[in-house]
Amino acid sequence: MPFRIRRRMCELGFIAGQKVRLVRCSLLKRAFLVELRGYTLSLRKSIVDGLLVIE
Amino acid sequence: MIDVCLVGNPNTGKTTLYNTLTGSHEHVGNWHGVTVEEKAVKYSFAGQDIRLVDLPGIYSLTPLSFEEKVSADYLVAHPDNIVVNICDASNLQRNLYLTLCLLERGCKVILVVNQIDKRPICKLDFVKLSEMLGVNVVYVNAGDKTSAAKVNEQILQASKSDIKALPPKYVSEIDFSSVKDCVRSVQPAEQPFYMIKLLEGDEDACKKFGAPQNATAVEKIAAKRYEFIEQIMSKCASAPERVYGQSKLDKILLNRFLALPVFLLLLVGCFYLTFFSLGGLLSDLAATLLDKYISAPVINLLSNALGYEHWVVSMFRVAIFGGVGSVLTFLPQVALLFFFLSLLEDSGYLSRVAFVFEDVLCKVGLSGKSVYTLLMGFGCSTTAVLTARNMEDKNSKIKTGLLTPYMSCSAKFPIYAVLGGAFFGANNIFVIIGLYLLGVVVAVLLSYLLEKTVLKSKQQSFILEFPPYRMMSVKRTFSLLWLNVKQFLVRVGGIILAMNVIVWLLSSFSFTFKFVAGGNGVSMLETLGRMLSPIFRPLGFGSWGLVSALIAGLVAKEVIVSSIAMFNGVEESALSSIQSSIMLSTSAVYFASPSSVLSYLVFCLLYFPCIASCAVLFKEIGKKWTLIGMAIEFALAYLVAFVTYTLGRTVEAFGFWQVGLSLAGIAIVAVAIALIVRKFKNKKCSQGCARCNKSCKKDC
Repeated sequence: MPFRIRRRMCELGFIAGQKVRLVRCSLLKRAFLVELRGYTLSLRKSIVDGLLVIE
Repeated sequence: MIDVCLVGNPNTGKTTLYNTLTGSHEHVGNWHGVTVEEKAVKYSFAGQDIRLVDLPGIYSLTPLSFEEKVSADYLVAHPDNIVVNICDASNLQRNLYLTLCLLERGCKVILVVNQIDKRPICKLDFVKLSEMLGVNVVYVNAGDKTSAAKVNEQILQASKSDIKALPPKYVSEIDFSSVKDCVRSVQPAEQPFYMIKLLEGDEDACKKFGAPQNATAVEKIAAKRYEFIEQIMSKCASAPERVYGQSKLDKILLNRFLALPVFLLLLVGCFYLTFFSLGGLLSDLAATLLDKYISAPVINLLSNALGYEHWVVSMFRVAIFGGVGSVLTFLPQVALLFFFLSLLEDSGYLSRVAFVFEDVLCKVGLSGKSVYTLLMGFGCSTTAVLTARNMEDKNSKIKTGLLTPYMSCSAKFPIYAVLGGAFFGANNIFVIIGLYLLGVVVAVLLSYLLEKTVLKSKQQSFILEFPPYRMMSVKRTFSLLWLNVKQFLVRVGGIILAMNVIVWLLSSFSFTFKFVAGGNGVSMLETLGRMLSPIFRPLGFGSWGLVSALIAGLVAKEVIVSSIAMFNGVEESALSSIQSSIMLSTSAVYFASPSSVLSYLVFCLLYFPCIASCAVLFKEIGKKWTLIGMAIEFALAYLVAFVTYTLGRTVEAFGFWQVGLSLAGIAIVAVAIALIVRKFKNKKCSQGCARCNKSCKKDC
C-alpha cells in the first residue's frame, strides 16, 4: 500500500488492534463496506487486500 | 476585524454553518467534498466585524487530495485565526482526531458539536469534553439561526483572550529524538507541531526542513491520538445506539443483486417525472402563458408603433420571443432536473451509488469520487468540473475533467426534446434515454482507453465515507427550487438573450449591412455556414442553418434550439411550431429524415462543451489537456454521428429487422474471434493480475 494512503488509513482509525466489521461487498466484490469506531467506510479491494485482519 | 476559519471533517456541516452565520447560499450536500475551495465573507456581530472563511473538509493536517491541501495550507499559513472546528455529534471519534491535530498546531480552537441527525447516537457530556480537551465546546444545530448565534458569542470571547489551547498531554510522550535537530529554525512553541509532521512524513514539512521522508512513526502517533480519544469517549459519551452511516434501507438499496436494478428504476422514474409527465405538462403551460400574456401583447404594441416589418419588431418577434421564448419554456424541466440532482446528493444516496458502481469504476480507472463530478455533469458541466478537485492524483483529475462534458448537461436537453420530438413523437423518450446512455458509455470507454494509454491513475484509495440518509426539509426543498429557477432565469436573460440577438443580427444582415430577412439577400451567418457545411454533409446535416446553430451553441447549448427557431422564422414559444417548421422542406433549416436528426443529436451530445466549461477546464486541467480534450470530442462526435447516420440510412433502406439481425450476426462472430484470440494469449504466462498469476502457476 502506498505510504500516503497508509497514513490516511491510520488517520481514519485503522491502527494495530482496531476491531473492524465487514458490512457488505459489491456485486463483483470490488468494493467493501467496513465499519469501525462507530462509522462506516467504503474501501476499494486494493486497500482491503493491504489490511492484515485476524479473525 | 476578527479572522475566523471553519475547519472540520468532510460532510459535518461547515458550509451549512457558514450559510447560517453569514446569510450566504453556498452549495451544500450530504456528500464529502462538496466545498472544494476556500470562501470568505465578512459580517458583523455585536458591533464586531468578523471575516469567516469556509474551508474544504479535512481528516488531518496532512492532505491527500487537492482540495484538502487548500485547507491544510491555509491552517499552516494563518496560525492566528480563530479556528471553529465543527464535529458531527454522531461520528465524534474520528472528528476528534482532527481536533487533536489542531490542538497540536496550537490553534485557538472553538469546538462546535453539530447535531445534524434528530436522533442522537449517544449522549454527550459537554462540560467534561471541554475540560478534557481544554477548549470551549458549543452544541449547535448548524442550520438553526438561534443555535448558530452561540458560535458568534464564543468567537467574540475567544478574540478577547490571548490564551491558546495547550497541546494535548500525549505530545510529551512522543519520542522526538530523531527529528529534534531539524526544527531548530522555528519558534519553540511551533516545534512540536513540525516535529510531529516530520515523523508523519508530511511531504511539505520534509521539504521545508530538508529532512528525509521517513515515516515509521505514523502508526504510533495515530495510535496515541486514538488512545486519547478513547479516554475522552469513555468519560464523556454513553454507549452508542447505532452505527453512523448504516440504515435498514441499505438492505435493499445496497443488496448485492438488487442494488443495480433499484438504482436504474429510480433513475428512470426521476427522468420520466422531469422530462415527460410533470415537467412536460409544466413546460407546455409555460409556453402557453408566455405566448398569450407576454409576447402577443408586446408584439402588438410594437407593430402598431413601428409597423410589422420594421427590423426592431422583427428582432423582438424572432430573436426574443421565438428564440429566447423557446428556451424559456424549458424552465420547469431544468429546475426539476437540478432539484432531483440535489435530492440525490442531499439524501446520502450518492455515496451508495458510488459504492454500487465501484465494480465498473475500478476497471476503467476512475475513483468513487468521480461519480459526484460526473453526476453533477448532468446538471451543468461548468460547475461539475470544479468538483474534480477532490481527486487524489493529477491524472485522475484530468481524466474526470475530460469525461464530464460527455454527461449530457441540462442545456442539451431542449435540443433532444425539440428535434427528437418532431420526428419520433411519443417514442422520443427512448431516443433521449439512449442519448444519455450513449454519453455515459462513450465516457466509460474513453476513460478505459485513457487509463490504458496516457492517463494512468495512481492507485486510488476510494476511501469513501458513508453518510446516513437524511430527509430534505420542506424549507430546503423550496429554497432549492427557487434557487434553480433563479439561476436559469439569469442565464436565459443574460447570456442566452445576448447570444440570440447576436445570432439574429448575423443572420438578418448581409456583409454590406443590408437587412436581408425575408429572402432578399444572403446573411453573414449564411455565408459562413455555407462555407463550413460541406464538412458535415457526410453526417446528414449539411444545411447552413444547422451548422451555424452548432457554432452559436458553443456559447450556450440552448442557443442551438433558439437559433433553429430563428432561422425558420418561428415566432411562438410553443415547441410544436418549431417542430413542424423543421419538417418542412421549404424551411431554412430542415431535416430530410429521422437518421439525419439522430446524427445531429448525437453530434450535439458529443461535440465541444460550451465556452464556460472550456474556460473552467482550462483553469483546472491546463491548456494542453483542454485542447486534447476538445480534439477528442470533435473526433468522437464526428465518428459516432457518422456511424449513426450510416446505420440509420441502412435501416431506412432495408428495414429494421434485416439490419438488426445482420448486426447481431457480425457481433457474435466478433465476440467469438475475440474469445479465441484471448484464449491463445492466455496460454502464454503473462505477469499481471493476481488471478492470472494463480492460474499460471498451476499451468507452468
